[in-house]
Amino acid sequence: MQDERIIELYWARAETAIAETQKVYGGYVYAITYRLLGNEEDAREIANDTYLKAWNLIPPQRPALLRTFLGRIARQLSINRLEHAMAKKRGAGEYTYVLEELQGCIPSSQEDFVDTLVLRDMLERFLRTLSEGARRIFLQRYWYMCPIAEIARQCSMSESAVKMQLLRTREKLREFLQKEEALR
Amino acid sequence: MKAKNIVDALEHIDDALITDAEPKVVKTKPKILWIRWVAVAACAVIAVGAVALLPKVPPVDEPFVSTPTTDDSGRALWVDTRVKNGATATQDDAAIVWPWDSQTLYEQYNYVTVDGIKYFGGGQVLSPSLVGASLGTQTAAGYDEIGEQWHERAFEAFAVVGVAQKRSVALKIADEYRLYRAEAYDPPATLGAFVDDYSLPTHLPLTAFSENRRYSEQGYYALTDAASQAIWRMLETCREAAFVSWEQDMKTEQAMHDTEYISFTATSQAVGAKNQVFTILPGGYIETNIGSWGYVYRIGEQAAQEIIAYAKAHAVHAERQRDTHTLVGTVTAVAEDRLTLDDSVMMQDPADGKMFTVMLSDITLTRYITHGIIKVGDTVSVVYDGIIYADTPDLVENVYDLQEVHIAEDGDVLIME
Repeated sequence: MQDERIIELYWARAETAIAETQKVYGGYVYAITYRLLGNEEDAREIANDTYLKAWNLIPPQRPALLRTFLGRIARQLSINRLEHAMAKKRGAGEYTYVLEELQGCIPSSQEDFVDTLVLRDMLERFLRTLSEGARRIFLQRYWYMCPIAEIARQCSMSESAVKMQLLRTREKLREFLQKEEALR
Repeated sequence: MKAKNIVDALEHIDDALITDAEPKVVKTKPKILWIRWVAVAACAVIAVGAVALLPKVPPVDEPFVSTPTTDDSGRALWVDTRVKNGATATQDDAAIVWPWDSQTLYEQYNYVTVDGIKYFGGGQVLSPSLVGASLGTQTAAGYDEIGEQWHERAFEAFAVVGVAQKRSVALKIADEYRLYRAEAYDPPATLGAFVDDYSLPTHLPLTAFSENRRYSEQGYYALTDAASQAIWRMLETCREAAFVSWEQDMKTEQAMHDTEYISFTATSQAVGAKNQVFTILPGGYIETNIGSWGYVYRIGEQAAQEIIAYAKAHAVHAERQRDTHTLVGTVTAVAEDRLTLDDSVMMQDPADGKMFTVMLSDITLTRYITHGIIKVGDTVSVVYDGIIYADTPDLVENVYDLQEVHIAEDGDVLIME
């Protein structure tokens, strides 16, 4: 398998590991960083940082799926960069809107509740209750942080239909989180 | 919780969900920049540890939560009256992939195929009373992510009492029965078929519900078993109600949740549901996520409204229940099967801190010690059943989970660089 071959290169500390990774996943990683950061220079820099972090993590790690392994790193590093920008009162583009939108999903009773693992499990359960279409739109917005216009293009929907779908899903999420917390 | 916490938690969701939603790439591929790369890699020393969030625990005065003073047998419980400092604990490694040998059998073997149907599970225990006829010895499979290979092992399989074999089976693993559910999404065509497949009147008591409007809860209520059975009898008259997909009519869904509706708590070992919902919408729908999938059936306005009216007329106000609690503190000693924890770090007056002996009952907990992930001096959070007895006020026995955490005073996420 392609991933296995590339991961072997990392384990062998072969510098070609990075070139190979870029050849296969360069477009995917760049798409994530560009979407989040919105400019080519930052996107390229964070894409490079993503490979650096992968180099540092493998070994000891042996990701089962290199694609999402890199995607997670790219997303996290891009968010770190955006938070740095927000702290300096510079624009953080789509990410600012995403945070504003998600804030509305949080039941007031849960202001103190934060447990990533529990929350991840809840979100996975919640996502599995959604229809395939609603789930894709939700994740394109809140995992990949695509602008509304891009999602509309991807799904052949109007922008207002995408916004409406996201609103409904967020309201469902709010209800779901409330229900889950009520019973924890 | 902040929006950022949702963004961070999403990062760790299942690979399949992430890849399924992946947008088509609209930008051209970047140039290959690996030369710069290698130079950076060669002198790299930074490690960006993305620190995820975690929890202020336990809430001291959460509304609706009653504090019991005895357990079911009447043994007195220790009640924590100390003043907490409101510190937030953040967790730093969200997903540990354990070596194959450090997993329990039920964690190792997630898949089994019986009579051509593929099932997934292992995480949920089934009490022996729910275990039916033997389905013979079957081969379960599991993937070792670190060793990157599949393993197979034979276990005895059983039917689940009252549940159609096409929905779930049980495997006997290390003297316990574990639930495995059919992997494919295959919603029953009618409510009657859904009810029959899971024997819902037996397996899913409708004894606790919340009143909701626009996805927000307005109050909590309890019903007796007899009232629950009466509701199932009312639902029995809606057997022909057809499965519908909200996709077909999204406007309806939105409108439905604008009117007041009720949502039962769906918890059932046999069905494999824990704290899920079984919602009755007055617009004539049942909506549930039991079994980790979404199901909607159109039962008609009259039936839905009758059920809601009946439930409300027979309910009493109730309090919210919690079934897990968390203890956060500093590890002062570790042994093979236990650790000692000092929780003064969470107290307004550190002198109020207390030492707890936390029992680690199986490999899912002891592996944190044997792999050196939790050591003396670390701050950890311990998720347990909330029961500490007054006569052994420093003993925590029923532990579900253990995590290393970091403390932040301001409640913000820690980013370690």
